[in-house]
Amino acid sequence: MTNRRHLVIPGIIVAVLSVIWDLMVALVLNIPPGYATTTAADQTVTSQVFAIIAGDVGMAVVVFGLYFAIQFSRRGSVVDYGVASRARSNVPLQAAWIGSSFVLVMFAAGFGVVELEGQTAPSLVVPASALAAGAQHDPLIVQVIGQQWQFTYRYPQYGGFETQQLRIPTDRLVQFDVTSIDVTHSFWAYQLGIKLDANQGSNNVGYVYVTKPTLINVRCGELCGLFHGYMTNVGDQAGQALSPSDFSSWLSYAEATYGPEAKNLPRFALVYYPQPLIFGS
Amino acid sequence: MTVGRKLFMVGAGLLIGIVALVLYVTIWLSYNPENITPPSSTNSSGQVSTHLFLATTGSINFGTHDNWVAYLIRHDDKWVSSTVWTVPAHSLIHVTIWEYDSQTGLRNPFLSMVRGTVGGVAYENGKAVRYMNPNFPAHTFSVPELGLNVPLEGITQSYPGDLTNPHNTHVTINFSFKTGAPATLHWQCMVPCAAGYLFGWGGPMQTIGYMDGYLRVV
Repeated sequence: MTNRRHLVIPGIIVAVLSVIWDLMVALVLNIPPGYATTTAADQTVTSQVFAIIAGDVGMAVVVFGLYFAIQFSRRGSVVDYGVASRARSNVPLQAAWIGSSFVLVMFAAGFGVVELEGQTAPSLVVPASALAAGAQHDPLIVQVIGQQWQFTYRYPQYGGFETQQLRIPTDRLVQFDVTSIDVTHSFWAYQLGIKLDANQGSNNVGYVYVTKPTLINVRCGELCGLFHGYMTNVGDQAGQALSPSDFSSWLSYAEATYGPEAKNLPRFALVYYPQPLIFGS
Repeated sequence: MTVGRKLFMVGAGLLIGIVALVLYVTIWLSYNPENITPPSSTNSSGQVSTHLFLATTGSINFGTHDNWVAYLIRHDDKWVSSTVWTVPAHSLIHVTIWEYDSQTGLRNPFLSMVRGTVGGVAYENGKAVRYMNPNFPAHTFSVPELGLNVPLEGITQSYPGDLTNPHNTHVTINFSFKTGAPATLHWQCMVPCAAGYLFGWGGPMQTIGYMDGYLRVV
């Protein structure tokens, strides 16, 4: 068997397995966090791209490694010890190795930068179809307040009422203003593809644009004390992204139910410094 | 070192490791904070209900942290220091709390509203309460996973009794709530009532057996 065939045979195996893996990633596997928001969709596509690349590269390493281990470690096989030195002096082989590594690394860096940029500005979060209508200029503001061990949500554009569950509309830009009144928490709304630290004295801003109604599981993503693991909105307490008409109905209900209580809340502010600042009673 | 000596050392190391592992697993498996299961009853319409009879005190007066604030539960005609309680699923839970502690106030006034109870109301010394001044609560009884929050007003001079002897002065709070499917929920106090700790949120607020615990719904 010639040396070229030792590249062709495992190469064909890698190509076949890679096609199967790539199709599975693209068409079969549910890659999180899904497609409920433009941000989540971006993250899902990013995860798919990197799962495909990592899978293909990993497949090549394993297949070539196993092939050579089996082919050249059989008892009685004749090993050509000159292969290694010829490989080192083979310019096309070396160029292909270094070139492919360079392309992969530069692709990963460039892709990451572009995707990260796409999650930081309202105009990049809003789909192109809604940009023309000026959707980036009319966000629903939801203030997320972290406290041991519960998130609460304020709606400053609607009288500043506060609720225990998150409700947001589809087809409208949502701006989350995230803060904490005690230790550091992290507002992680899984299906929205958003995770923002909640720090006392700091207003952390993030945007999402929900494209279809969905349940929203909220968890704290920052170890924040004894019941950090229970600081969730899941199950019956899960948040919801509602259609515009359903959200409007909920808003009417919420304003009637919670609105009168809003007068007992502190005036809306981006951050709060409630008493006691230092000690308990 | 001889081969026999090496084998002895390896064997001894293995033995110590296995004993440590068995001890660790045994302790881990047997760890079960005192779990109180109040008796349940079923009425003629099949509604299962349970009564939690609780008290809050400014200092528990026994144990390692005798000056820590704590919840107690009445069980078998005794006050018991336990904050892990088992209640039936899909049932009605009646709660009576004797609140003996003084006022601290809430960091988030939103939590001074009664939420998640049957009728959205609690009864303080027989009087219906849906909201109280956020400076008045001494504690809350909150189960965020159920959306339940009840502020417990602290004692003041306006209540009869001798403030120098808190065991003679308390506010009685009654309310009911419903449980859902079996689950392990956490309950807690939302008032920063841990005197001497940063934000009033250390010590008893971060230790099972004092101001928070589990509600095992079975």
